[in-house]
Amino acid sequence: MSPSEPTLSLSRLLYVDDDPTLTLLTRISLERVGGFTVKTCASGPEALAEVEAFAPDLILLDVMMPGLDGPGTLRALRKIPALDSVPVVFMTAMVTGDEVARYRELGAVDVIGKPYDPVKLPDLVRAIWRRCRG
Amino acid sequence: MAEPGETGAETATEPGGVVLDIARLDGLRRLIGDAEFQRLADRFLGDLSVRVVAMGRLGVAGDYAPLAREAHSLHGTAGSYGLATVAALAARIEAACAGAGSAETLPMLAALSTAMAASVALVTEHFGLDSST
Repeated sequence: MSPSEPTLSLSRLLYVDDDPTLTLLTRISLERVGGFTVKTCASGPEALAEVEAFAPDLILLDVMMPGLDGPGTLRALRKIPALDSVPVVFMTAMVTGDEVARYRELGAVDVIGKPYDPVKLPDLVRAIWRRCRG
Repeated sequence: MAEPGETGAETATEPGGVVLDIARLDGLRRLIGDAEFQRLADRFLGDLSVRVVAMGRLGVAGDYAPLAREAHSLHGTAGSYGLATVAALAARIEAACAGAGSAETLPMLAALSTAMAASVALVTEHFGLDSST
């Protein structure tokens, strides 16, 4: 199956965040608690360089990053034909109603608010997956 | 929007009023085991001290834009690790930097430093962590 074909099961997650301490917690949560295969990237450009080879089922993307931010990374991801159907979820502390609406207009399927509970995060991600694949 | 992490029902509070979400950290320790939890806590608590000191320097220098970015990042990270008071203070510092109250950041940074030290002590004591590592 090519990376552009939607998968029915959620297995491979790409997590993009410039905060290494939060990235470590999130990786442990998603791998050890959630059982996912996780690749982490510390910036938008790094994610764009790695994403096709990793072929994620879903991408978790921090909004506020230096240089290329989350929305900019999402716009660049959407220009890669093989990834045009891969759901992107923003993870951010900026979660007012207007901001969530703007993230959805940009093409995010959902938004996870920071801070988040690392024990509950895997179930949250699965619930989003079910909604967007349901 | 998906629900953000909620503060667990079980919390620990120091006499100084520092709140820590023990339930969140306990749940994580049970799931990942003591060794990995120690490694994670070492990394986070060490990083926390470095970040708070750096934020203090930015505040003294009046560099409010980078201070706001650091505070924003710390809010999400500290809160996810269950350090509720540190996260709340970081959010207040970010808001002060963005508004007209930049001068208010220095006492907030002092409070953050105090809360950070108390939180580190509380986590280390509650979980019996080896603080020498």
